[in-house]
Amino acid sequence: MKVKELMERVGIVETGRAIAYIKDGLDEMNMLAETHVTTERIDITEDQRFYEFPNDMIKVIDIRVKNHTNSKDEYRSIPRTIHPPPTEDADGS
Amino acid sequence: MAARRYYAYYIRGRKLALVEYDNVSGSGQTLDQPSLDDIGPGGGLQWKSPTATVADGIEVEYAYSPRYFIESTDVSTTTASGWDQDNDGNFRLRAADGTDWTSSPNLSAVEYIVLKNAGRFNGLHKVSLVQSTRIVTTTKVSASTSNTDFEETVTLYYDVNALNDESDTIDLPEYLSKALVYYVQGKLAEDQMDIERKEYFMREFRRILEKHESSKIWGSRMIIAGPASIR
Repeated sequence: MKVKELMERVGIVETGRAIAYIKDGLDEMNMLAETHVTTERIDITEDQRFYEFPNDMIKVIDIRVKNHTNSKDEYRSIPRTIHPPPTEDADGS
Repeated sequence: MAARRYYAYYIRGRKLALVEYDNVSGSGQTLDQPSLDDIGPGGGLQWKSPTATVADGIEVEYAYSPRYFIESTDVSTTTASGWDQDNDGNFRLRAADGTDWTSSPNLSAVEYIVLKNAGRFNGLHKVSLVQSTRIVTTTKVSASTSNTDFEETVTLYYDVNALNDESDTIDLPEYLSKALVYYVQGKLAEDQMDIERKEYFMREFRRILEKHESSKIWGSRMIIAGPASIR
């Protein structure tokens, strides 16, 4: 569907406002039911605990790590801890 | 053969915190029966930051918002090697050695680019200036003005149509487009403080989404036993 068709169905004439709401709607859709999914690989650095998520990420679906509970270089889903561990990162962050 | 490891994660702000279970003591020995000083009362001290560097170690699968079309996936370049910020705090791409973005490929007329494998900078960026070895975007970033190399080989798509005018197509299946119509109607009703209409449209929006999700599931549904279940 084109933006113009949606505007006609809704009865809105301001293009900027319509596009802003369409973008909000696309975000909301991906929060509730993923329509567009991708993966990103990040290097693990020794003694570095924190890694940035991609800016375009709406919702995390899975986090997998190489060699987690295997030695075959497979990526497997890792569990989420409820509490951060008491040992700090090497840089204190 | 790679070493077997055991990881877990937690979230802090917009960052992923990765921790690894380490059963090696401070003296370097692997402990069969570690002391309390090594493991702590609940074994918590054995969880620490990753103990080794692993290329491409983390794989994050995530949903993103389709605010653009990549019109031709063949029209791309892998010549972005790093990034920095300009004096106005804008994200700026740096070309690899020997690349001239004003000649081959000529990106001078490009308005939008999409980056893949660029870590936190994945996704759509609006271009404000193209120089021979720099692309300045309008994306704000708070970082160093010195160059930082990308971890991965970045793919830069420049044949991109961003969602910004009436003639653009919304990248959704036809059925979900109807949900989007309800969503926009709901937002307009909310603007007019007509909460009853807003609730109606939002309910329809969610109903269509749920129906679309259910439509992808075929056949009988089975629940398999979990790995820790009693058999």
